[in-house]
Amino acid sequence: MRFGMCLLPLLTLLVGMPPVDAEENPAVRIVWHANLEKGLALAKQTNRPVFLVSGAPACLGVPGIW
Amino acid sequence: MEQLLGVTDGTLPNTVFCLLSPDGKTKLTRPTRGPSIFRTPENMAVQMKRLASRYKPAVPNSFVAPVPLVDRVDLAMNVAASDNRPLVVFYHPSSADLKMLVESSRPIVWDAELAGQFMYAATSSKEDLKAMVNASGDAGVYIVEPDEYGVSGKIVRHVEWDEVADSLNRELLRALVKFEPFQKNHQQHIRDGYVFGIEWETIVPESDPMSVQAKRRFKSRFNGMD
Repeated sequence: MRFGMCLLPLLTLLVGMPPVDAEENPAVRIVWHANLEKGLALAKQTNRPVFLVSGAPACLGVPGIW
Repeated sequence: MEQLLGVTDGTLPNTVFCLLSPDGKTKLTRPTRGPSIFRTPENMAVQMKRLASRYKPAVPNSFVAPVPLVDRVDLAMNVAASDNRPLVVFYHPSSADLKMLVESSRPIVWDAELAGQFMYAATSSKEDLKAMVNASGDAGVYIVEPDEYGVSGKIVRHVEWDEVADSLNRELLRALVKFEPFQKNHQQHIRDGYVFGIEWETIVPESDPMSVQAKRRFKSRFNGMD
């Protein structure tokens, strides 16, 4: 399925991400950089590879859900 | 991003997953809809560590990254609601002071107990605070719990701009302990969104005919529109 929507790039750099443990409260979470240009600039500056995920914070036009 | 991932203009899928080299030019994995190519989370972690080990970090361990701000407050509210996380909004009417406020919060935001727990946005426009119920308009840091749809939010704490160094860490931890994420049912969420007329217009109009038709079908099914 193709979407011509405004996609929100979510990036994280591969730096020591601890694994998520469902038993922990609050759970360990990924820090997302929600701006493609800024995320890529940080990756370049730190020389860390990029974990790129894109998505729209709306499903079928309704917000509040991926 | 289309160029980056090597797809034709206008054909970027709604979700894309890919690992890239630090310069963002080389794809380290094939772009896919999700990380299922790794089969298991354990294998994904192994492969990510292997790929990361190819590149020597260019900053010392003491390096603190910038605050990961979402571009706009309303978008950040929506993203926070979608991720079911609280939102932190930095506000100061002076752009220069706002910059200082955000910069001074860097080490707090990246504290091990807080990293990844909040979404962040910054603004010098009082207008942007309107979606936050009972916002005083005072400069500082607002900790907000978004509503289910991320169109408005309840301020649970406010830290004055000159108290950030002393209080922000403590207030974020308190807000985190009290935060209760919504239990969302995908289908119900969309149905109720149509019933109550809560919709999100993307900056780039949706062009994919299949998606537009699906939206139309859902709308007519749930509230008899169209």
